[in-house]
Amino acid sequence: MIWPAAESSSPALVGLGRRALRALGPLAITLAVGAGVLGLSGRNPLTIYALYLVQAVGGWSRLASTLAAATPLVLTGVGTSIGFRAGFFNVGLEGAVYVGALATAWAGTVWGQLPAPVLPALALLLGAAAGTAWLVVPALLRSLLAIDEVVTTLMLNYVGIALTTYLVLYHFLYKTIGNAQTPPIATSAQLAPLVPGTSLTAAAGLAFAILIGYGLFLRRTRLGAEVRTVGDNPRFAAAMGFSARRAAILTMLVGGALGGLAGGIVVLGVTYNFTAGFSTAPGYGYSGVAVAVLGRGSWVGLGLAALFFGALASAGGVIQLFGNVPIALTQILQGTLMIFAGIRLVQLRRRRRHPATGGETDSGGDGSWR
Amino acid sequence: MSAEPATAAVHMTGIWKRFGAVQALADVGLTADPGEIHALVGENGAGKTTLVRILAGLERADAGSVDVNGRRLGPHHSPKEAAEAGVGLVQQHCQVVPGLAVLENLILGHEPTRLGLIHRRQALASTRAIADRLGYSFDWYAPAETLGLGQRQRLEIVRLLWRRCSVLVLDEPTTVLTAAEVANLFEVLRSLAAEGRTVILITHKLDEVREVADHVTVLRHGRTVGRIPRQRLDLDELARLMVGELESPPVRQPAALGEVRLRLRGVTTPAGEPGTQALRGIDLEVRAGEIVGIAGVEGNGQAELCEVVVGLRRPASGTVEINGRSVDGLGTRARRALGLAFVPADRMEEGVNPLGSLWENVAAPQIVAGRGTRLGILDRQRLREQARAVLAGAGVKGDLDLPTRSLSGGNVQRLVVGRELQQPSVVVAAHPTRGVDVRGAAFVHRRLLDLRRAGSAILVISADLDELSQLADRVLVLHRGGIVGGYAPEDADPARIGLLMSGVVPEARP
Repeated sequence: MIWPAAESSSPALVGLGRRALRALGPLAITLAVGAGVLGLSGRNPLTIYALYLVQAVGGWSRLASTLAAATPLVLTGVGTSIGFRAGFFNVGLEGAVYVGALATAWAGTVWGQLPAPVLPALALLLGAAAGTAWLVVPALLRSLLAIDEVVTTLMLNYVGIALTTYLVLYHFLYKTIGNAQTPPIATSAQLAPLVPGTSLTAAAGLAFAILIGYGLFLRRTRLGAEVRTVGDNPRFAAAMGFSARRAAILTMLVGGALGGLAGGIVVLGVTYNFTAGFSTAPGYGYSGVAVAVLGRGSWVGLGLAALFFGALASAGGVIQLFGNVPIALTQILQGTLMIFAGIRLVQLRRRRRHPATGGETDSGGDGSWR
Repeated sequence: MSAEPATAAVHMTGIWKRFGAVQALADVGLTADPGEIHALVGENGAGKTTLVRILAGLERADAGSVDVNGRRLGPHHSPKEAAEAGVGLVQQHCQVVPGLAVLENLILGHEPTRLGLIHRRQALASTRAIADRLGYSFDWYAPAETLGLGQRQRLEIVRLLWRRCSVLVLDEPTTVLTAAEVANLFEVLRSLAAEGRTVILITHKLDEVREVADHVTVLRHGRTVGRIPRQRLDLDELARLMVGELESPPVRQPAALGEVRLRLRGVTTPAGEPGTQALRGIDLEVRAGEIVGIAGVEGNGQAELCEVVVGLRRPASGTVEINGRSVDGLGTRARRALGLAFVPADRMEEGVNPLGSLWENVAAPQIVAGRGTRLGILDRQRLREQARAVLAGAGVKGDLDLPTRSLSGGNVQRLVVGRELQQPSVVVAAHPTRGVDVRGAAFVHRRLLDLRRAGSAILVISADLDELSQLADRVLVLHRGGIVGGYAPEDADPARIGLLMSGVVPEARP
């Protein structure tokens, strides 16, 4: 009551500060955990973190590597986040990444006689279509029978990983090499690096365009309004006649498409083939969950979170070569962030059960997802 | 009855309590003597529960004094102080601690100890003695969560007696009981009163008052409107006091009744869903230019009736027609497209998206219907302009981009009414003025009457009979999911309405 005027004049600012704090808290704690581990192993955390910083953003080629590493994470982050925004916890992008990557690799090999601009586009479209198809069943189960999407999408990830491994080994194996991988894609299918020596390709532009498209979709379109309303307050949405079913199907399928696209981009721009189990520790799809949670639904937040994860991955790979820093540290940092993402996910889920498509109503919740 | 003795068991005077914009209690008094069963009656929202929560120290009065057994409890006493003075409250839904045995639950927080250990034998002996006297038996070492609701209530009574409460307050204890359990409860209450304890019984069921009460205090709209000893108890008068002398209805233009816009035929919903009251064969017609009111004690199917009409709940049998067309296969969006408007009871959960901006909340029907959008893109400028006009018309001030949760409850209702009541063909309005201040309520009523004149068919559900008699051309009473009777406000007989709402069939009363 002492400063009522100040309080009422800047609620937006206060809210912004609180949101920034909540978003940055996990990062700060993660860095502290890493510092503790470094300190215990007799290294100076500040020196090592400075090394990370230099390797992540010091110079054009390092920056390009960070952007390249962030590219698939932007896509899986957006794909996961759009489901969250409607209140659906689609964690099945990992599986979509695998089937999308395999489909893209197949197209890139089999349609090799197509010219350069056409082939990558078609191959990526096929990858996105495969990712979409991958999540059709969980989307329908969720929207028609109210079957928990977390269980179905999570389990389907393992199916996707195992299925693609099987397909590679028994149907698409590149027999001249001992690895479980497909033959290399045609040269015309490859995405050329924009900065030599890195895997930054035009796909990064596509990913960030999709990121902005996500922001515009939610704010400016009728379906985006439906997605947000269903996610914010399912009972109100139902009373107004918004369709939670449509929101569930739409967001889960878009998530599948973006997962498939992310897998395809890795194939065309980084690996040039499909290798069984290529998306590991923590996996593009699972990292996308962390990016979505830490990015808190806004397109800016998602972009920053993806860049942070990208920086960690690109710097971590280099740093172990000459920094006397084991790659395990990078994994500790990623793992700690994933723990926060997991906690946050459980909190969000408690808050948003969908009465409109079955499940319990749980009122309350401050809507901090926004 | 003589003048009040100096040492009433409970003496509350001049109690005031306000929750936000709602004056829950205004200068309320309650005096109960030792050895009597004192009924506290009133409609939902009359302030009964608030009053006893203040007595038990669970709520702080804004003003007033509370004396228990001649002892003044501080202006803001704690639950502990109330308990020490001898006040014990049996809440409507008794909680137990799961995982603990019945006995452990009972002695929780007051365990008798010997050498620092819980003296189980003594605890069992003392509690069992009380239970035996009341004729209760428990499986003392069974997990408490296995107790049914009636058993939990008994456990609570034993607990309070074990803690030597002299004033027992029971908040609507009979709602969870079967008829046999009710009879048993009343017997126990009578024996407790005979021991010199005071029992305060909250109820809105008049037959219960007739059966056990020595004295009755009647609350209406947060005021004490009557204090009647048993000898002068007259159920008709009590009903009238509870419900209030109905104001003479405002002069409505004689309605030019049009065609039937809303029709329900034999609408029945499945029984046995927890937390819902099944509808039992509802037949209902609302014509253009007519307001039909639904009266009744809350929880008798009002929410379910709304949901069936709006398309949020599927009936097991029966049909709903809007504008002469069956809408049984249609969802909420399609029904709204036919001109249905809905003012829901739970405005923060169903009426608005509190996280969304003001303009988006106002524009929601347009967005749903695809108006004000081009190729799926929102025409923000147009929608915002329309929202600005709606909000101005509803008297809501505030930035269009503010989140709706920043509005007060009354302003949220203005937003909802402004949005829904534009040019509807059929209106369903549930408790449209609950918790709304006088001017807000007048705005809502004016809007509804204007629409009636313009030819809308309007269904108003309310617990406020004054409101219904002011608005409605006829009123139907809902009880246990069925329509048990009806009346025209012009020849409303408050006693009969009160009895209908209490589930007492008028013809069967003595």
